[in-house]
Amino acid sequence: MTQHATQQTEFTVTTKVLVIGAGLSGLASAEKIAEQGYQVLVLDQGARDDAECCYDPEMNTVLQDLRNKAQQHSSISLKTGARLKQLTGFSGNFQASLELDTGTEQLDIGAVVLATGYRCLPLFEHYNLRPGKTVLSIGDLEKLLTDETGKAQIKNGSGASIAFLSGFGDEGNPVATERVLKSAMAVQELEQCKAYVLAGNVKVGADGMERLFTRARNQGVTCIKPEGPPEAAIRDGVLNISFKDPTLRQDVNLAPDCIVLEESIAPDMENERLREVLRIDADDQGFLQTGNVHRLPVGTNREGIFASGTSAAVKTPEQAIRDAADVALQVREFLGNGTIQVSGSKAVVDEGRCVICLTCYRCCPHGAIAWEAKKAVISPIACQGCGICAAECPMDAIQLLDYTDEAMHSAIQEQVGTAEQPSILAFCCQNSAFEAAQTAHKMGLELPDRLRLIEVPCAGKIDVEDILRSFTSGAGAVLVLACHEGNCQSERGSTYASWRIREIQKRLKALGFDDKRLVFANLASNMPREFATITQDLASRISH
Amino acid sequence: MIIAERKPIPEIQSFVAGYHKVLVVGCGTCVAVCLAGGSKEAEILTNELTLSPKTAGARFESRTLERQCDMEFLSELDEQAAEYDALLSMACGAGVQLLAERFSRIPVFPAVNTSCIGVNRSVGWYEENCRACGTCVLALTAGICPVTRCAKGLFNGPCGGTNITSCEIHPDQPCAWHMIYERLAAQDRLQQIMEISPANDWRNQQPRTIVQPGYEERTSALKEQ
Repeated sequence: MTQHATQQTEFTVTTKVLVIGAGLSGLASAEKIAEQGYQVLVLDQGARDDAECCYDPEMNTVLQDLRNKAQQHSSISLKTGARLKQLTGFSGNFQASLELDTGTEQLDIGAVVLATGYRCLPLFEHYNLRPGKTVLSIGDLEKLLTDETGKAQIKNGSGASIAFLSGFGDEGNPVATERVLKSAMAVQELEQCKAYVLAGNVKVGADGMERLFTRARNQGVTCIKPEGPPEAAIRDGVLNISFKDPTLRQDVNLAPDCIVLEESIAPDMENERLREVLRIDADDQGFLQTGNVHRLPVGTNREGIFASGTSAAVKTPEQAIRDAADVALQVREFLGNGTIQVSGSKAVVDEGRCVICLTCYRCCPHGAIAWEAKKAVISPIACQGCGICAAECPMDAIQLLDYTDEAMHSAIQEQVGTAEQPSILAFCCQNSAFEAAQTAHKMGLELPDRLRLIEVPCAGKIDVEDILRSFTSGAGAVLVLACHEGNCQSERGSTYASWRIREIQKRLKALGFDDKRLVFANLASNMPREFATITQDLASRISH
Repeated sequence: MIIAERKPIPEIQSFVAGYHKVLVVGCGTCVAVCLAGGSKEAEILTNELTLSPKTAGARFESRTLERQCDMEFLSELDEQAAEYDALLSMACGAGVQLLAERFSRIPVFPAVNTSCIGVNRSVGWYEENCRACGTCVLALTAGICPVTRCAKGLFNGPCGGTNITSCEIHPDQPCAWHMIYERLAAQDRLQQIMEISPANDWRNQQPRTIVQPGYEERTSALKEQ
């Protein structure tokens, strides 16, 4: 069923790129993309980038430098006070509607790069403390540390002890840890000052963090991981932190001159709106990228839309800048020189059957479907060939070229017909279960003789009709094997498949048909033993 | 759009019990859009009936028409219909009736319950928004139908049973008149809530024949033929 996969078709794309966000990653991306020979338009939409570099004054210089370069670059145009209002069209040939101070502007663009910032939210309330001269947020302290007046204020004359509380209100991340450690080191460097870091967790899972942590301790920063959250309070105007020290194995009271509280890092306020406008998935916090392992670092669920720097996740300024090279590479890969080759194995709409119910538009995890001239249209560039739309279409108006309904039906007939006993027909996602099955074979694991496989591009392609037809064609049992939830290349294919199977099981039961003859399971490609177990179990069950 | 729901399979089976060759007729309009009776659902029902031990031995096939509420599309079945001893329509009640009228010698059964006129919130999720009362008051009610969405169907409101956002009948039942109030206020036309809508003449619910303005003579001419 792969005759179309090898065919290539040529398409023309627009070689203009829209970058949303004029911070470190936005400007760095714009520069790298422009270096590749593309026209770049940068909108300063979203949080101002001070947020990205507030804890690292050096970054302000970097940002200014990037801004100057962008302004001077002939292929980069920087729009201030502008924002993306609407995005229509398809990957490679989007139509953007921009809202400018001067009115709206329509623009043809080939790709979009998201580079919004993030917000730092002080967690005073979590610690039941009110901000004041001796109770600061980490952001407040960072600002003080940028100049001599601020430093003098911290020193408070003869020197001061500063206690940092971090990781009790928010789970934290390497960025939060880096901020605390850098500030604590800066405090420790001040004459007669002492820094304590009381942390829930020190997150060192990023470049150079382990080294930074060691350096901080070597410099004299006292780092303690209390047992449970410490209690901070002001008693008679005196600060007090009480906590249980697991090393001393006793309760400790600390009376610092100043308490510095953590900040939680939240996505840019613009993310939510952009997510809707661009129809892209966000993670549970609202950053514009889900943790799909099948995607390249700056990829989103839509072809031609990339998430760079802090738009995608909490990142350090260095990481945010580093994303620019990845983005430029991906843009280059995607837009090429304006003509791109696309595989022919894609979903197509039978216009005569389409009733424009919008089911496909709403289900497509890749945002590859829109409607034109009152019919659904699937972009061959954006389509990933998962077949979810084809399985969902209530009029069977969508066919995946290498897996048409007809091809599936004859594959079912063929497979069911070749077994001597009632066969066990396993629909296997090519990304996981099919691989597991091949490996099980190669490993010589015992598999039922009557097991027959049908490879599908995604479990989400398996249609209710395919399952029912397998039974009406004489299959003894049907297995639907999908990738694990959260590990589906098509994001929701496994989920859709599991919902469908549960519904069919209900229906089979209502028919008086043994619903246990239909089994759904999640498998990864490295689970051949589980594949063997599932198929053997089913075989033994239906033989009785 | 008309929203329908598939009937439970035992009920459908009770209709077709005893027939040997049944055609499941899908409809490619409203019921296709609301995922109850398009070609996919027709095919699924056909397979379910084929699989079921209760209807073993009978033959089920499916075909989907553009619209069952138009005679012209039904005529596409003229030759084929005679091969079957029952038709199972997946159209709304209107479609079922026209199909039954067209093929009056063959028993025609409904496979869906016609539920309401509603909107599509998302895939497989619909909300009733209109009850075809024949006297639209949406101009006065900020585009929120009190007949459908007020639990009491009040043309004038709110009543004394409003708990601000919800209705006295249930905390989960939103008060439509509260929503109307809020939206009118937001549009700065709250005074309209004071306009009294006269009671609807529910006698208009008798079988209605609608002839659009300008089509009266055409309709009479057709009837005379």
